[in-house]
Amino acid sequence: MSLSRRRFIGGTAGAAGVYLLTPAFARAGRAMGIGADPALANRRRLVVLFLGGGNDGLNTVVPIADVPGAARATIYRKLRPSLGYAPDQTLPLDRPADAAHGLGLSPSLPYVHGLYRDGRVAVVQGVDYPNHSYSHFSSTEIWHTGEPERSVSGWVGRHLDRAGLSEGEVRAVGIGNGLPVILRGDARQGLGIVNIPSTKFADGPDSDVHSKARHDALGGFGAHPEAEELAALHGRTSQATVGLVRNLADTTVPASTGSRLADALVTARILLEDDDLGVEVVYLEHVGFDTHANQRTQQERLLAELDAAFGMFWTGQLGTKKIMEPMSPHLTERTMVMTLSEFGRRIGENGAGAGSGTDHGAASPMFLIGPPAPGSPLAGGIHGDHPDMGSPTLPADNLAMTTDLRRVYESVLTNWLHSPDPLYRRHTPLPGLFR
Amino acid sequence: MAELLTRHDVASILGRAAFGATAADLDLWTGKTQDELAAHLLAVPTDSSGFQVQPDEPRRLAVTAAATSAGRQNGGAQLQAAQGWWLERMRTTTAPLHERMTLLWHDHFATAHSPMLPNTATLVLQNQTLRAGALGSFRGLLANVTTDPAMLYWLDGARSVTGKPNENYAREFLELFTMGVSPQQFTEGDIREAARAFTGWIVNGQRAAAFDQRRHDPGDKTFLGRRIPNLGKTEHLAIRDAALQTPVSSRFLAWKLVQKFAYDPGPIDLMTDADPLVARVASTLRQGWNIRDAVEVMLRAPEFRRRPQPVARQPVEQAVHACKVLGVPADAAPVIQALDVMGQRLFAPPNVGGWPVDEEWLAPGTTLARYRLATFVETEARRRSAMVELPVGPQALPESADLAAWAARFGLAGFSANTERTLRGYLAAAAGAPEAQRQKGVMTLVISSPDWTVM
Repeated sequence: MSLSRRRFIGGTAGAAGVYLLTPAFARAGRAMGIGADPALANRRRLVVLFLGGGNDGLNTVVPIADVPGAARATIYRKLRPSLGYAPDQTLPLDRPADAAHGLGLSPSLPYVHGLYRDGRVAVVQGVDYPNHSYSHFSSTEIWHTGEPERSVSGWVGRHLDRAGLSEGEVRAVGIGNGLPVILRGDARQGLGIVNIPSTKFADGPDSDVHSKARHDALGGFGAHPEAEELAALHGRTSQATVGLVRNLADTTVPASTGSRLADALVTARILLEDDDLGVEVVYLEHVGFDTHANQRTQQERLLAELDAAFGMFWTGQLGTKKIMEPMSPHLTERTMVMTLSEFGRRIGENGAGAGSGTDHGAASPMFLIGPPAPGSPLAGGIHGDHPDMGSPTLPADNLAMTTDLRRVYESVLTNWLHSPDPLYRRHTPLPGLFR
Repeated sequence: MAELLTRHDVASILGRAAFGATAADLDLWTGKTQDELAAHLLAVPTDSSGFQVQPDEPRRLAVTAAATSAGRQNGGAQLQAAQGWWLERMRTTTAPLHERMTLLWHDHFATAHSPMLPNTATLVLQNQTLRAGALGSFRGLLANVTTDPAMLYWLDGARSVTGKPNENYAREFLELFTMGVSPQQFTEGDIREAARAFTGWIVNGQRAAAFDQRRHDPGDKTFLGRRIPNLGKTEHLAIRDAALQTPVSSRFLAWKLVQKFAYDPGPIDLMTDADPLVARVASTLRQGWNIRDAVEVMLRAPEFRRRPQPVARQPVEQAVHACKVLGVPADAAPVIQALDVMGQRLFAPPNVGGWPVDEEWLAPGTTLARYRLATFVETEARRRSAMVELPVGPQALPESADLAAWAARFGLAGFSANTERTLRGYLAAAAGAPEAQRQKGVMTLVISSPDWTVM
């Protein structure tokens, strides 16, 4: 955490122009006489959802049957007498070729299960990085940077660095407090907002002449030179904020849904839908997965909220309540969602009974959810190998990596976002994940 | 002969140590020595009066919280009342250093309101424990935190039982509370052994910590290379002592104190790199783990007066300072709501790692929430000013164009060139506006300026 949190910023401290925090979005760029990308409407979009706290992979994608050479379901049931799901409690992964895997989905994920059956969901098993850290903070940073061995900026930020952005163009937005590491590049970075409803001035819009004078001055903090780096960043952030509020002034937003994640996905939809804004990547978080205790209750609540919010993202309906229009076919064909978490959890449960939980573990599955098949470049189904769980007499304590997270990132950048050059030299895209 | 404090020095020192200076502070301490100011801050008697939790409130709150997801996220009325109580205490206390250190320990031992915690009352009790030990022995504070009911809930110590220990508290005890991970000087095995040693503590029906021998793992433990026999109720003290005797622990705690109180020394290898102030604080801590002595080293340090790099003050420090200099109560709902969006909710840190530092506070959401805070505070200040009948007095506001008077009013030694130019530009653009509008603009912009956040 804190010891390493600033490390990549520290490496660039003092360099002029490091924080290219911008006037916000292509629309503003165009107003400034900078040509907007004519291909904005056709650009692919990516939503990155971080499951904070360490989501338990084994109760998300559940071993429900032993397969030749691996008694995974037997071991799972033995080590999780309180927390484990019986096979018939899960939603079976039963597409052609799935029988060899013997897996089922958490009962809290019916919408995702439907998408899976439609061929829109890729499950990548056993994702992690070498020399796993069990620390929330160190491991989160590695998932954000995509670099286990070096101190660097975020992997999406580095993608922005090499994406040929024009000056003043923002392609990535983080929803939440502050700006997440994942969106910080060495030269470019995304923009952090809380949500669209709160992205407005407390003293009213620019239509009031007195308010407008104050807003102009607020943006003006970024217009004057500042010797000191943090003060300069403060000024540039103020300037970007004023641009952002003015860009979003005409946007209408549904009232809060009552679910923080669904609200964030409403904001994501609005940002991604407006072709003029040119937003390519949205990052958001769903937290509370550190289930050392009361795991069944907690994780089921969190996954159910996630499932409902995903349903809202594509259908516009949260449960039975209409929040917004369904996602347009145009956007649906161009949008992919991926989930990350700092780690999975251990195979065995701690404590006993309903209150038990699991401690910090290692590898876990990732979800990638793409456009409807056919036509989708994402290959739905189960990818990669399931981590070894030992034997019924000598079960493993933990799940070891079978797929390096850098290969998944490289796949997404190369095959989905069409990044012009690879981020990694030694980590190639996963074969078969994209068509 | 010691160099005498300038107005800028006073603003800078009190900006970090005491929720900001007032105009009176600047006048009083300019020209005195840093040691005199340090002695004053340390000499003020501590105040340990507490927040009164309504007896029937926790039960009602628990029902509400269970009813809705929103209730869980917002924590309800009791949480807001507790937040307001503490913010107002920070604003009005005669022992600001004491509150500042209580906030630091809340950040260090970050414990949050959550569905797992049955009520706000346990968090308020923890707050009293932190306040009571804020400037005392770190060894004592650590022991009290280990057996604190809110912590026993928050990191699952109360659920940890022999045979299947829960590692949550043991891991953060080592990683976040005592040794750090730069470099990591403990193993996964040490975490498991510490988790075994911590078993047995529960929270009883009166919401007090209690030791249940039957839940405690009676076997020997091997922790940090030493054998710890079964000590039952006092075994956690043996774990504490072993952790604090490692060479890295005093350096880690010193690094954390400097980062959260003075300036961010940045990511350093604690065993090989030496930030001079961190090294001196660590050396002081090794002589008995007295927090007051460690804080005194910082308060008297030249690095605290003229920091090697500026810091972004936490939202709570910014908000309390604004309320203090403008005479506005800090427990008002709009203050609490603005802090919520700025990302610093008291009794609800984002996770056990506590709150971020410096540039992580700088994002558009934070800017807009600070602007919201500024708008509320200046409106309240003008409303209160208008209620005062005498044309001059503590509540009277300076004339809009008198920037020197505004700087003094806000407890600043002056404005930076950027802020000065921005304010002058605003006054020129608003030349035809009514004086009340211009005053409103100046106050909103001062709180929104880099000068208010970055010190």
